[in-house]
Amino acid sequence: MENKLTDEIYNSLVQELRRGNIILSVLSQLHIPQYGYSLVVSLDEKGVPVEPGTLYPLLRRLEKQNILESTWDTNASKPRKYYKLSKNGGKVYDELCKEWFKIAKNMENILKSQE
Amino acid sequence: MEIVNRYIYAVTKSFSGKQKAEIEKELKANIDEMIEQNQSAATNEEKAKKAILELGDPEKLADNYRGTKRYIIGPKYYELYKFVLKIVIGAVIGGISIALLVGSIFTANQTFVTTNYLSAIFSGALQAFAWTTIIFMIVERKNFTLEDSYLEKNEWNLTKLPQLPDKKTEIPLSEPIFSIIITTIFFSIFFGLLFSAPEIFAAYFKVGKDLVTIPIFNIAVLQGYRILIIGIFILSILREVLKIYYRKWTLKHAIIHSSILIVATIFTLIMITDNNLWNPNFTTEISKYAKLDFNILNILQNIKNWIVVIIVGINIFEIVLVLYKGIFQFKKLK
Repeated sequence: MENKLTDEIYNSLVQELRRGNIILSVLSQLHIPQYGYSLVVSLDEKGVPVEPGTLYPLLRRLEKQNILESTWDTNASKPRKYYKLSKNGGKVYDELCKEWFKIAKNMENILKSQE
Repeated sequence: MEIVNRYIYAVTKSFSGKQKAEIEKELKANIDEMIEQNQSAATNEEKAKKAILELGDPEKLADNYRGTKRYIIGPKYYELYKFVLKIVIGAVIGGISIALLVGSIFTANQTFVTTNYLSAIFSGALQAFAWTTIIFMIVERKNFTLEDSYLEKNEWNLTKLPQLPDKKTEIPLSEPIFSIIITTIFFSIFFGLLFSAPEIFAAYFKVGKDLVTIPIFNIAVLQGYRILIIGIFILSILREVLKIYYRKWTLKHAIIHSSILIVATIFTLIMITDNNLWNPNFTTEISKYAKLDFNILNILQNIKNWIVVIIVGINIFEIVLVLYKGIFQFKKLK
């Protein structure tokens, strides 16, 4: 019982750690237009699984924030909504990347100095 | 497929308009895609179920689309809500007890009063619970929109720190709590009597050895005003809850308080100035028992006018007072 509890806590901590990286991972895939499900698959293949229930609403929110832009493709057998980085989103992504590398470097330093 | 439609309905039912249509369309496309990309040998129905399970609890998905959680009464008000609820329910139970006790003295039918005590307490407490909850629901919704626009438009800065409360504009906690208790007890007694022993609202005369009562009100009309009376009660409680929330007179608080007061006053005046509310035979009956050598009709009309003047006067005084305090606080901030 106690083990189960610590497992639960551990899992929620891991989730918390991953959550902060979801947006950057998603943005990194959207230099080319992708639709919701293809994005789920490609992120999963790259070892960054994001649940569809988290991803679909996130795409919509990022579109509202002018970071993504979308188009409906109605030519295929099934209509698909394609998302890609907007011009503004591209700039935001570049800045976020810089920030992320800075954080990664600092985190590495801080964690290694404790060993 | 029915199950897909049911799922989409469950996610989008709390949205409206364009947003709802967009989310529906997008979610449908995503689920169709998930079904199509599933290469297993399962039937379409099973594939749909799997896709839906992957998307998870529709309520949570809706929260994700919305970006915020929705509460009937959120964490910001929950403590205050519990606090007010305890006071109001306590006061209602106390008030009904007193009302029925007083009522039992004046009614011959003792068993009626005692057998009805428990059901009156129960329905009274239930009403108190419901109305308090509704008031807080309104406050919660109202504040929600206020806060959203606040976050969008205004950056927090040092000047936004609230002033330390000034003795002049501060509202001691005891004031609204005392008011809530008194108001609730008064309304519970009034309401309890209105429906259990309405004959109590009368003028009493001793004629020889008999006690004669003449009803002041036309009871059916007075009972018909119950919605308005409940409205006045809710507005009074709302004013006190706002006092507990703000704890001082700011310009905004003073304006909201005054507006509520004006509406409540209008409600009261609508009732009092309704001639049907008063027992039409009151004057003729009263002259039968009391030998008066002045015109009772004139006196009564004057009393009615004076009641209106006093109510309006008291309320104007209160409005001027709170607006003065609100403006005082506002000027100090400048």
